[in-house]
Amino acid sequence: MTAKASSVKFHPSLRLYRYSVKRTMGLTVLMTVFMLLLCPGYVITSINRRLIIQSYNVYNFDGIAPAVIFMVTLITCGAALLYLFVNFSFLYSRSGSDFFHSLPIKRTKLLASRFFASILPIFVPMVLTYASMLGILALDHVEGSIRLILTGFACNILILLMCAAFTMIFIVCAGSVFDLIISFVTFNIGVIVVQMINSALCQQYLWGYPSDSEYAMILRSSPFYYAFVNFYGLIDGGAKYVDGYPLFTLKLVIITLLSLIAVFLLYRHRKSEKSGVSYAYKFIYIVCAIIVGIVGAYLVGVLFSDGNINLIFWIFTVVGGLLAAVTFGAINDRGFKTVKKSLIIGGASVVCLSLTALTLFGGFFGYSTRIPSAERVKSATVSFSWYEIDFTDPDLIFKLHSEIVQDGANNDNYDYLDISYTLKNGKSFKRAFYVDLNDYIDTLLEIYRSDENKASIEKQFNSFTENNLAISLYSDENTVDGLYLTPAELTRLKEAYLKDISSATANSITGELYCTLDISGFDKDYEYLRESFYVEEGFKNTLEVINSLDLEARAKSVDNEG
Amino acid sequence: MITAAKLTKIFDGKKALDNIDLSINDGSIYGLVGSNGSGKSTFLRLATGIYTPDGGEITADGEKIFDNFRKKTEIAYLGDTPYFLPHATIKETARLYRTVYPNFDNKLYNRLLEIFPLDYKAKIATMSKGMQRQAALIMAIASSPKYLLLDEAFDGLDPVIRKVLKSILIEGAENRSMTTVIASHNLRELEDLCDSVGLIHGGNIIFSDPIETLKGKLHKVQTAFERIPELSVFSGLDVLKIERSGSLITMIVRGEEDGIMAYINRLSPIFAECIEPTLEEMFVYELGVTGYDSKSIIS
Repeated sequence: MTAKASSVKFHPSLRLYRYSVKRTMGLTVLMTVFMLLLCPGYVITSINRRLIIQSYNVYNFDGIAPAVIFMVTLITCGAALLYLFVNFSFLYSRSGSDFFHSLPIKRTKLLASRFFASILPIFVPMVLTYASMLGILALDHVEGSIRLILTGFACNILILLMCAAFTMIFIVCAGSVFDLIISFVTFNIGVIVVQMINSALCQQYLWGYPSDSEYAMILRSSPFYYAFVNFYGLIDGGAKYVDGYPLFTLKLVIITLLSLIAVFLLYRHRKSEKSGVSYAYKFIYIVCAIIVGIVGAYLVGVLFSDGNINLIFWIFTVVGGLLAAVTFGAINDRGFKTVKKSLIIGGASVVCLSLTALTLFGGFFGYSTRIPSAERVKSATVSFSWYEIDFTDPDLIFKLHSEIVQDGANNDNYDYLDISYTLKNGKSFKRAFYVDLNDYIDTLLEIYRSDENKASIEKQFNSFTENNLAISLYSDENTVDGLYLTPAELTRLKEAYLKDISSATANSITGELYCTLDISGFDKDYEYLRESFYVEEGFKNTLEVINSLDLEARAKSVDNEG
Repeated sequence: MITAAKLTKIFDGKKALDNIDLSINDGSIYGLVGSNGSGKSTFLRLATGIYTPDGGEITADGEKIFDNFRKKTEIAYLGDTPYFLPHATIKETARLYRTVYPNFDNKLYNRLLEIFPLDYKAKIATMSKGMQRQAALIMAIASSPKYLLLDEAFDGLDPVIRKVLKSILIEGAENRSMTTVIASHNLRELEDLCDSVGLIHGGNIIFSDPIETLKGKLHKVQTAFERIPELSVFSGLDVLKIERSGSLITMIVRGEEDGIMAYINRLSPIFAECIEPTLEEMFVYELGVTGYDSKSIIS
């Protein structure tokens, strides 16, 4: 006998890993070429165009880097999923499963060797692409942030691992390629749609639920959606509701670890005889069927009730839920063998939807009436009509919030009022209500006339530098736009306006205004500013200053000059 | 030795193997016979560690097989449908086997390549069913297993290759003490190969014996008399079946050959001979004795 190895030194899983990597080497080389075409290939030509053809002195790589990093992340994650599907396709054929499970390799090691054989080759093009980005920064006339690239690289690795680990749950649970695709797509898209439905129900039934929470709710639905949207928000710096780097990293690590633990446990106990059947683990089918049931129930309900959540909605919800579950069951069984089971799952989906609505209607365990304790709150903001008033001493906000909570929900009110607390632990606590502002006029006036609001308004006026000041006035009778304003006139206007705030009436709160003043200019950092100031008929001092400015005459003279 | 003790396997609530006890001796060529769906393949998969038992246990040399990678280095399995990596050639597949089987024998592999007329650079997927099975047999045998488990080993092979394979398996048993288990529904294939056979039906082992024991038990006697005697004259023999065709009487008799022939010769026949029954005949008669309907079991 030849080619013998001692059992101590023999590591079949490691050797299988090397063998698998070699088998996909051609694909890895091809992917490397494509990724290098993107960066440095495309990026260098883009820089060259700007520097030479468009005669730029300096090219700022940070402008294009987020898009390149995001593209690289997308490509590498897509490739990882492709490699995983290829390397684990043996699970879906009886002969393939028999072959691999007859090999002298422990199950967990077989899983690990195939998993890493799918992931690690992708590091080659990924590292080369990021290295080329750093190389581009070293070029003459190119500037940019090394930190952005290194952060992007680190996040890319985390997202890649998370996507791969989470996808493995579906790969191990499915029994055939068709059902893998069905469960993978159904879950990851379905869970986003379910969160949208959840948000719609919150808006309908949960008193105090702020509508802008929908984005945050959807962001935290599918791990894929969360990873990519949050990541782009972070590197692009544009998104408002995304988690910061520490929390984002922590969440990715947790999802990856939990997924890997689940995958290893599931794979160890996966029965080989389940290859070729729909699902090796039924729970994934049940989860997906419930998701489909909920989505089907809601969509059919909405379709037949013209978008209103009423009795007709709930009747057709039952029809939709049952139909969707039976259809999904038929796809799963390749026929109608388990209609009874599907009907039970459809019923469960409708029950889930109804219970959610009922819980929300009941205030969701005190969500609607909860007010944070004063010692937890750092600052608060109240928004109503067109005002957004910030308070570092939120006593008045607590007072207003308590009054609203005491009065309870009233569906006939249409004035939107939003209260947002910034807590000392950095989190926020938001509630939004539809109220009749007249019911809280005293407290709202107290808030409006408060020293904090006046200080805030004064700060708004003071943020303008003396250069290029302009004023616009919008009222029912008259509109003048972009007229020159002197610094002295701005000061007079400010003093008059602040004086009038103290004597503001309910008209200011409910929005019965005489006019709106827009002042534009630049701040000390040369950033363009435009601030609005709302003037009611009772603001005598302000109106007097406005009249003295003789805006109509100025407008005419501007027209004549024009 | 492969040993199954109270081995049970259940699929969707149905027992594919029901509490079976079976021992397969080292260095033997064991034929596991049974109709389709009788549980042969399930037994082989359990013996390879592909399936985990739902009851009882199956061991090789006293060690459980499932997820026991050291023991599995001694076991090679070839299923009824051989599996190959997509687009792989024989050369590439051999590289995989070399990777995971520490005892892969390159000399034997090269010898087998000479014996089986296959192009080792061609993609296996493009080969005929018989050639694919040959390729899979090369890999399994070259892995130098202590236990070679073959499911419908001869399917798709032409008669010449069947003969070659049988001699290779016999050689493996003689020179390397390789134990071969062949699951088949075709008794004739196993006739001149196996030294032990077991019959499995409905998830139960109906019997399992060395062929010599089976042969020693049963004899086919053909005899002729000048005057045809009453059949009751054979009552002193353990006759399982008796047929009369003219003056020729054919009997299946249980017992020692010498004793049977001495008894018949005392009746002064014109002609009497004791011939070996075929494996199929033995199975039919044994099944008849144990009360099974042989037609439903052996196809």
